[in-house]
Amino acid sequence: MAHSGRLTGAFVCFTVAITLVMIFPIYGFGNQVEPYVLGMPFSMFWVVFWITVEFFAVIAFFLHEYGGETSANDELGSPSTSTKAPPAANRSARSGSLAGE
Amino acid sequence: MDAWVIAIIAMTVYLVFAFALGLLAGRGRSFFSVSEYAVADRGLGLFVMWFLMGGTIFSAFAFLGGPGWAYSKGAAAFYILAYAALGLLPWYVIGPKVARLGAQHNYFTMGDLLADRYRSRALVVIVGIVSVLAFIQYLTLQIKGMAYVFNVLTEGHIPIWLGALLAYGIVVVYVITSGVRGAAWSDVLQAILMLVVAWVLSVYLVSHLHGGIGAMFESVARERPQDFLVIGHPGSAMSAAAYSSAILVSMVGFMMWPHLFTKSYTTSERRIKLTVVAYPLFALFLVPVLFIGFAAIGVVPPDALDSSDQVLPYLITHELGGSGLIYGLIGAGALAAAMSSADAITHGASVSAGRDVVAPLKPNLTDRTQLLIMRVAVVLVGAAAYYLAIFGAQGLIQLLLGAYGAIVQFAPSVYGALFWRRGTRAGAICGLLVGVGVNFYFQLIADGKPFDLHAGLLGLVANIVVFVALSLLVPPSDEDAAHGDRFVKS
Repeated sequence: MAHSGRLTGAFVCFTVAITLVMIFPIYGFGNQVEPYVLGMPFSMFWVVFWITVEFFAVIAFFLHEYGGETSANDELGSPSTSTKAPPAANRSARSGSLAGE
Repeated sequence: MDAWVIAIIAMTVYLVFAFALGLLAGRGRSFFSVSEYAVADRGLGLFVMWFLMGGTIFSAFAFLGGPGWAYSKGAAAFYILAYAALGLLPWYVIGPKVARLGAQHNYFTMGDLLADRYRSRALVVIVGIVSVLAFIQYLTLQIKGMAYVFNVLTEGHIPIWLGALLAYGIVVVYVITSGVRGAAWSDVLQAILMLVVAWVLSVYLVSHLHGGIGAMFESVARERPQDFLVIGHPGSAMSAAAYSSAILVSMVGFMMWPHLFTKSYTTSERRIKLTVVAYPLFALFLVPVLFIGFAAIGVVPPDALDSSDQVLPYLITHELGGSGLIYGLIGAGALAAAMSSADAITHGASVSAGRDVVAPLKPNLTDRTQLLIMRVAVVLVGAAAYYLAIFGAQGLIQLLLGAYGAIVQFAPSVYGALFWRRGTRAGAICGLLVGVGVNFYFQLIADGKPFDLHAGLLGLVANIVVFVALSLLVPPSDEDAAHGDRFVKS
């Protein structure tokens, strides 16, 4: 599971980084009225911009982890796969209670 | 027909619809199962899950407090975007672990997990009491929001106390009957309605009042002091330290709301991760909500409002030409925002009160009695929050930050449970007590805070120091460490 460990590590680093750009001192770089971007003062654009970056980054993480896998491998990345039924089996066993799918 | 009558009719139609949906959601499910009431037998789908999480943030706080802050404090309002975007991120790593442990050991609440890890009943009871108190604070905020909306949009014909009673009474009933499923399905309806209303309103107000986003901010810059749109300058509403620490506390606190744990036990690992992936979208959806507040600058005279939280209802009644149908639609959107949070929180509080406070003190309760206690707790918690909302006075965001300050104190115990095998019972309990104490001292008693940091962050620092120091000074027995190891490795 070294791969999943590295992935978790990368995600933790990403979380810390994206948090730091939102707060001081780094937010200090974005903390100014001019220039206006998309009509917004730069202090607001900075926040919106990094949220957009965050959005695409988490999609990338998710696709990296789950993209191209069959559903039987859904729970890959969990060290305790042995104790869990694969989701396909889960689904049929509990189909009666799966609201919203 | 008068505008306010049409508004009442439209809002009533919405309320009836929300009520019916909430009730129907629980139909055909076991009324007497704790597992169904608390975690929907662990089977909620992604779509519902996402709205259940999103509904919690798209609350009266976002819908009324967001524009209120943008209007009165300018750049400080960006804090809302930042914390909404960041709050759920750590859950990508922690959520699956929590869900896995929950499924293995049959947990329903965060308290269950802590009780099992630290093998302490006292800790759980403390966690349960702090959560219920924080839940009540947060609920108070939602109920105030509902009451404002009713009162303003019906031009004062529905008094504050009655509006709150009507809207929240409905929530209480469907949470009691349908449990988490009632909350989840109503949230889907409510979140969609609220989003549509917020966006349409924002686009209309910005273009109608200013002609565009750029023109709007230029007008803001003319109307307000030059530091209004930045943080930490002499004329800004918030110092850099206050702004940053508020984001940090809200971010850490976001994950510590016990109902997040309860919700995670309702679903699978992959869905938890997908929820996190989709979550920053909610933060982007909030951008137009802030625009509403900025659009009001130079349009709404400050002395026309009792509190800045009323800026949205004021704009609606004064700038939208008095159409009752529009009042009603917007009223329904705002009610939706408040109710979707209120149901999730009421549900969470009732599960916490039953599982974490009463059950450990009085073991051997049957399932049926536990459920009865949870349902009674819905009513009691609701009544307490209702009382505070109608008779207490505090701004919406102040209330929220107060609640976060207390909730965030769970973080060391929870992270410790999941990632540190040497954390001990004594460390967790003392850390939590010290953290809560420090938070309340700086929030309520002391005048001024060191470095202008958020009281919750000060509490958190004290909490971590005590937790780590005590755990290292009095190391766990080999058996305890092995027990802790199982949680870390899970």
